[in-house]
Amino acid sequence: MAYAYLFKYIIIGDTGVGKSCLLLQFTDKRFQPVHDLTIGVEFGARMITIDGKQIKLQIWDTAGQESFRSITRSYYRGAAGALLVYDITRRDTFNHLTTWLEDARQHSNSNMVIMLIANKSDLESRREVKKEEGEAFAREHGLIFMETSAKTASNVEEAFINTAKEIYEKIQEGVFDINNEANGIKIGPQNPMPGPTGPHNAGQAGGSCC
Amino acid sequence: MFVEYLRTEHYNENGDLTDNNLLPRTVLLMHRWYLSSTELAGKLLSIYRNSSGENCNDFRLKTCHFMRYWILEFPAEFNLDLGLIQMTEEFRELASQLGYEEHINLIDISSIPSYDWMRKVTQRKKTSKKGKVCLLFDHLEPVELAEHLTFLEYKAFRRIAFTDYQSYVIHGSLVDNPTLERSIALFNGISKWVQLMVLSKPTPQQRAEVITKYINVAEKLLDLQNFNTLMSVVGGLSHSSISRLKDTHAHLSSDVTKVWNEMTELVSSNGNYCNYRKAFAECEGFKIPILGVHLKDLIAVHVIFPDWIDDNKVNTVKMQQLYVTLNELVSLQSASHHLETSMDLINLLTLSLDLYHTEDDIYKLSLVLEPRNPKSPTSPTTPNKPDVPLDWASGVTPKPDPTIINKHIRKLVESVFRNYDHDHDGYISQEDFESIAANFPFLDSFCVLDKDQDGLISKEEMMAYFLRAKSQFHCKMGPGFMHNFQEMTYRKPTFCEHCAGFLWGIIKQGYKCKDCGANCHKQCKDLLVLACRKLSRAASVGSSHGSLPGSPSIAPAQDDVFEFPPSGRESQDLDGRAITLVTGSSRKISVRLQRCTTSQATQTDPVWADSGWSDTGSHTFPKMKCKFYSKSTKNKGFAKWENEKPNMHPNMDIMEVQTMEQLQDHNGTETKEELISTEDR
Repeated sequence: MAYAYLFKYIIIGDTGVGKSCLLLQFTDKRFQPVHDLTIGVEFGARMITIDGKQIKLQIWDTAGQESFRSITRSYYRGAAGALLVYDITRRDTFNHLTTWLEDARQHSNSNMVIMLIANKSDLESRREVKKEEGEAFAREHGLIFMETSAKTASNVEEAFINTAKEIYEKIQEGVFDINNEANGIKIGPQNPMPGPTGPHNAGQAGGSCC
Repeated sequence: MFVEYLRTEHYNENGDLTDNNLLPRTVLLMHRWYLSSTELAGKLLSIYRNSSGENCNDFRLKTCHFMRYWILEFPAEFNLDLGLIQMTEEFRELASQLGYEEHINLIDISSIPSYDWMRKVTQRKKTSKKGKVCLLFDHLEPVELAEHLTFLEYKAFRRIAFTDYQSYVIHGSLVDNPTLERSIALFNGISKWVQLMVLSKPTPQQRAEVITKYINVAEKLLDLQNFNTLMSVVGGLSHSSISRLKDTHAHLSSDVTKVWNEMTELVSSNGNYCNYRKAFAECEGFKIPILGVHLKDLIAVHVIFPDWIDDNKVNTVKMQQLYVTLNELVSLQSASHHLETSMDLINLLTLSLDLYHTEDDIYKLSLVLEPRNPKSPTSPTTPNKPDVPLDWASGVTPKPDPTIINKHIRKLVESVFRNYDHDHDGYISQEDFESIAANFPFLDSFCVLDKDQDGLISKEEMMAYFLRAKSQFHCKMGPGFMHNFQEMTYRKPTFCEHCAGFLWGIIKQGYKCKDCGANCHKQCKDLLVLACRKLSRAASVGSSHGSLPGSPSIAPAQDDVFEFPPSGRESQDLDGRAITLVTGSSRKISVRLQRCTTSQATQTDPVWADSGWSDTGSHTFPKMKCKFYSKSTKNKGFAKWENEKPNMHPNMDIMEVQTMEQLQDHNGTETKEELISTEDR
């Protein structure tokens, strides 16, 4: 399917904060089943519409690899956006944010948009990290902040789409060099023509990724 | 129910176990996802017991065939799982009661070899190649390094059981999962070691040589089909601490750069690691997968599919998909390799990989070697870097039990003497010792090596050297020891927390930690082995998971603790206590004991040599220091090195410089002379 831009995202954060669940919720459970080991499991692509333009989000999940440091780091290169996720019911996952952030900043391109996600907002009774703390952390480090629940789907769409909007704005401002794929942005195979074809509905699954 | 599913499969199977039907194997590998092996055997037993009717005999035989197949395919289970063994015995008894002699033989498990090694985290010595080996990094061939790393990798990989994978995928944590944690620790350890060895060289040219060597190692790893170690070596070399060294990379030949690009391409995450997956699928025989990639697949499948679908039926789609990956991983564990290894070299590598430095330290070292160009806009520094210790996701940084480190040290020392004590008199030369120590860059030892100053190093002396330097192998010096010292004027008599001595003087007598209030002499503040109270909570959170390799349930094999000579015994005890500190259980330690270990040399030498500790040591650091070094105390080792650089012999290895410096610190000019005279000889 034609798209104006392709944005690459990564999802990072401690084990068990619900990274895969967020992605699964967002991509509406579309995925490629494993037929053999040479393909692996991938369910990280979805089309959205911003400003009348079709944008394909390709999302890399790092679940299961959190402890393999050089593997997680390899994802940072070539990512335009990152969702940094913690679990509001586990303070340690909040405490580790600094480390994740430092790692991300050190290994990614300097314009990468980072969104801080406080997940599992449905588990209010077990909350260990106040919303205000998350907000303060985000303010201090210049991140966008949002509380989500992968379980109830609350704010999940918004989290991914807001990040995309931020990247899109940066492109408009000329901050990103869109001709360099190392920035995690790719221009679509054909020139974007938003007028005649009209924007498709958001939520269409993309084809296979690059 | 799972068993319902199993029964259908069982019927379909037609009693003929030689056909190509994969279902029995799938079921037998995957059943533990749903119920224990004992439970499964119990169900089979009751099926066997309760069958009746005209097909009764036939059906019982099929059940036995199924058991037989299970035993043949997964013998380890029948050796390790006590419940399963018991159940099998009951099965045999029942068969005997019912008079089926043939059945008893089918389910015989008496000839299964022992799989005891699966239970142990450490492994017994394998047959080692005879003859002497070189133990100097600079002289080791890439293929030797690759083979020995592969040996270590495989040793860690083949111990990871089905249930370890299962637990990681379901719980998403490494708690109570020592085998997997050890494998990941090895993976990360190799990446760090690669970086440290590169950064241990003072000139870009020399660093480029080390990088070239590791790229050659990576090629050999690919030949050996060891993708996991390949990934960690490539990961280490592509870490920003190395990739940012522009001067160094300028010295790489174009051939090497080409190979390097191929390697990074091969393990890149593009297309869900399609290059790696393709290459891996094409390999046959012995191979080691990139564990992280396959764990990711498992987690994805686990998140997508429910275990059960309506009516309590097993979700066979999920089972099938998990099976694809798990079967691959489990099958590879029984592949055999033909690696010729020298145990002496293994011992050297094992201890090298124990070396503990935070990523933060490594990166700062990189900045010292090739400072940032202020003009060129590079990646930005993290704004207002907080004073939080680098406490990575719990359980990731390996913190082995001190007894394990002791064992690694003892093994290394024995290996060194086996290869370097040519006349078997129990001594090696100082030069040989220093070459060996050069394999461990940045070991910040406090001790004087050649205590009796006879120019020869005994086993005990070498052992003492490493045991004291052990602080740098994981144990202390963890983030918990970072204090926030500030010069202080005391109005009341105050004593040093490190050496228990009085803080003399009228003003600025010593240093006080702003966070925990510990008081110290200026010269003692970097040696203090007392956790900072403010940080101790964070440290204990991390280490509560780090019980690992030495977890109490698993007794370290063949571990006789090294008997330290009488004078040093105290210090060994103390090392133990210092470690308790890091684990956060008890905070305070005996100051007097502390003194015995760390500043033994200074007792005979009351005035601290100025070279290491005077103002030049900490204040005349290059300008960039203020910019990048918020925690200057922590960087003592690097700062010292930086300041000593101008005096360096042009050809002298950085590590030799360090050794000399350390000697100077503790023994003043005396040792320096001795060192020179050694060179003259």
